[in-house]
Amino acid sequence: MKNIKSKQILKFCLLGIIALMLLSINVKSMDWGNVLNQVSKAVKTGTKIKKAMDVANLTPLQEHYIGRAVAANILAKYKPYYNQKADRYLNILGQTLAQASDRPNTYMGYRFLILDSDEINSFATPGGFIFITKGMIRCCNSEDSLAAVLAHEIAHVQWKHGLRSIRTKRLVSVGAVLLGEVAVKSGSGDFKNVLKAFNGSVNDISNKLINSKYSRATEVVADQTAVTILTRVGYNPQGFIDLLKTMQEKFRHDRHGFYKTHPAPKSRIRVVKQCLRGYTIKEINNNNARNQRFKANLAGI
Amino acid sequence: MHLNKSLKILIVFVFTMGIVYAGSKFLSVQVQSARVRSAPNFFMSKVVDKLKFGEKVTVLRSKDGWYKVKLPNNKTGWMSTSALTAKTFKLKAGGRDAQVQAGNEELALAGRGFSGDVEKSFRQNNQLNYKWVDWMQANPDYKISIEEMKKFLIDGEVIVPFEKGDK
Repeated sequence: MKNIKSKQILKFCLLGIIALMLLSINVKSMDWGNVLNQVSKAVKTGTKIKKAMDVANLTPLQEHYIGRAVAANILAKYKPYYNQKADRYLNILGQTLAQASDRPNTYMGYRFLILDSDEINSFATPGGFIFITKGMIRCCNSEDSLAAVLAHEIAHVQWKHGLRSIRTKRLVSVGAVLLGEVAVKSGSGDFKNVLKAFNGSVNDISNKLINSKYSRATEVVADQTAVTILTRVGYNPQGFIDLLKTMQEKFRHDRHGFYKTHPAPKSRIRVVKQCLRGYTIKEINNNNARNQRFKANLAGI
Repeated sequence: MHLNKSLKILIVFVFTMGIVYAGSKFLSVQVQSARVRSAPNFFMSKVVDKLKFGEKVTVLRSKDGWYKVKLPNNKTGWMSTSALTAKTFKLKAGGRDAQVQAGNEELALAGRGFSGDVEKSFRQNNQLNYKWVDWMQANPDYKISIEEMKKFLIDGEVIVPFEKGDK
């Protein structure tokens, strides 16, 4: 049975080679070098298109444009909370953590913004636009806890979780364009297909972030990566556990945002504690320099 | 039987081509601006140079998410793997292969995939809030230097001080 199958595969390959040989006759006189060249090219192109179906292979610049659109979508639903002092503090903390991640470079770098909402929530778009609500900030009692929220969102960007929620079929038909192999003119039929794929991709990610949720396994990876980032920089991971405990407490009354889109804090605490086996964890010092500036910069939120 | 043999040779040939292709030592910068550092560590090293999108480097070796690279000006240093790609960016005009002139990535990649052209059409058809996205991106207050990050960590007693003299 196995033999018959392999014979069929061989036959198929032979037909393919003959077809390529015939094609090459049209162009040049037949020679093996040319045939092999054609086969190699066909294999290479096939692999490339297949790769294009893996959204993780979009270039950082393309990811940046998707991220901008998803961010614009979030900002159409959530009002930004403009506070220069708080936003700058958030950016220094967040960008510092991002530098210690395994993906310090996105196309334009990471940016952070506070959203004027009481809902407990935070979002990370592809390319590194990260949002955190006032409600989520209120769950943080220390800079170490706030660092944990941001590190979790940075982890989603690092692993390209947003991009991976794009339905593969959207990108297949425009694979060659996405790989930069073919250029399309604005307004052409192909351009419309690229626009359609873009629109669909932005919707897929926005829906995932705002209305639906990542898989439990995805969230576990983000929490584990967050612990790695925090410990690399020197933040106390106890801040992460404190944050999850506060969230657990608040979810008794508030079941919006993070409550719907993330695993229960209790199970996340287990994940964090597992990562920290062997570490001696100290209690958070609420009066040290970093927590004094935490209170000063975020006062009024 | 004879066919079987030639097919095997063919497969070996194609795979060898693939390995030679993948083993190319040249990489291009795939982000807008990337730092080259004196050591494979963000906070314990100095900035040796900065490269722009499309500029090429030669890889000397790799270590835990970092490449040791040689720059066109013959300087050497370490770059995060996330800043580099094996892909070569092509110029739009005439479609010929060429190194992208630093800073001209928008022009070079126009019409290739999700680009500024696509965003422009997308914005016409959707009611979204791009104003704040542009603001997040362009606000000079949000451009944090490595020096500021180090100061932040030291002031907050997050980590011990580093060597001096970083850019």
